[in-house]
Amino acid sequence: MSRLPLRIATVGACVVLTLAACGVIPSPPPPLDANFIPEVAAPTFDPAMATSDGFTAEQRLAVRIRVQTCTGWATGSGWILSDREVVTNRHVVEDGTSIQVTTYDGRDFAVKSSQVAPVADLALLTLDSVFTDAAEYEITGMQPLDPITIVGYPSGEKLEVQEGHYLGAEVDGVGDTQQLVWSLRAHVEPGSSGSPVYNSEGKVVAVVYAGDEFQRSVAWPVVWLDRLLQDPAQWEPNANSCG
Amino acid sequence: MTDQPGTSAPGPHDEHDVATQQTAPGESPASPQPRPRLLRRFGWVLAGLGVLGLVGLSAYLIVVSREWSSRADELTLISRDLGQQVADAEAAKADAEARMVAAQVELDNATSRISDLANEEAHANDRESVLIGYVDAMISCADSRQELIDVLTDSRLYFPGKTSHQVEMEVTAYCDGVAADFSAFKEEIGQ
Repeated sequence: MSRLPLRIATVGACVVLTLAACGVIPSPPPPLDANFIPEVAAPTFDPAMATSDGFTAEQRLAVRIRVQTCTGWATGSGWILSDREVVTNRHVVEDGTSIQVTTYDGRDFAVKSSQVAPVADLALLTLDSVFTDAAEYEITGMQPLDPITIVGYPSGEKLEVQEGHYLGAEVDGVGDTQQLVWSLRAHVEPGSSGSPVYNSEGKVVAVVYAGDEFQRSVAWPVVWLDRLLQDPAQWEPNANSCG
Repeated sequence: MTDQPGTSAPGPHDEHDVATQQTAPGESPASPQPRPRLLRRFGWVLAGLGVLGLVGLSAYLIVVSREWSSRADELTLISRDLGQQVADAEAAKADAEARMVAAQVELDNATSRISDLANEEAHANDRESVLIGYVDAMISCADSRQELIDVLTDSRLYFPGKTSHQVEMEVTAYCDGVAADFSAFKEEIGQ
């Protein structure tokens, strides 16, 4: 008779344990989601993103300039300002009797007229409306070591891209104008004169006009060009002195 | 209140006492005790229910186990398929990258070639400009010599302010200069 409560307690414990075990009994797997493997949109190629020929905009906007003078001929560089205008250096086209512009892909265009700046070493060439792209210039300040890119035709040879950086502003020691010009760390050669100086955003910020063998070059900031464009009366005709 | 043994009514504890009295030594019980039997039956019922529950639980667990096993098989199949797809995609990606590198090299070559051709054309135009200049100079030389010949062969003609000999010297120097420059130019262009 004394075992009875023990049996009841044992049975009760079994029931309790069984009920408790029900809590850990695994349930059947739920059905798989319809999008168990997510759909990912395949990347698409936008043809508009591709350039037509593999050249960068900076390269396409740089031109080679050939100048026939009274005594010979010379080459320089320049850049396309509008559908009919090219910017270069005054000393490139000075005394020119005939000026031709050659694009990066070898197309030649004759210059109709040219004008030179009285102070800055800049010139503006006018052609027929032949260009479809034009460079944007930006009047901006630069900090030392800011990256710059110069695109031109050194020595009248093939198109070259030179990477460099801004050094600082200094008094023009080449043209002796006593104006502040930009000093740059980048290699240029005769023939690079008139090359555009691009900032990191692809805007023209200066125009190269001289350089030395120590990888240093000097350029006129485009604020000088902007002043002339705002007041075109400042331009002077590019007259030659042929007898 | 009186308390006389054998005559008083049974109290709360008297049941045990009655049983004790009924199973007094030397006497056999007159009838089976009902309460332990009920409890025993209840125990058997509980045990039976427990066994049934365990059987049901086992059956349920078998079903669940099979479903999970089926799911595992399904996922294994999917993962193998996905693995194959990933391998195929990796191979396609590597192939596309190789093609892209090749296309980039071809594009670089093409742009370089365009630059070379543009440069060659520019140089050709440069030479053309120079040659036109030399042709102009040589025509000028020829005209000057013709003029000199005319003066030398016609006594009515003369050079104002200069003797024919002076003009001859100047024309000869000019033409020699043009010829020397042209020779130098030919050497420069390798001809």
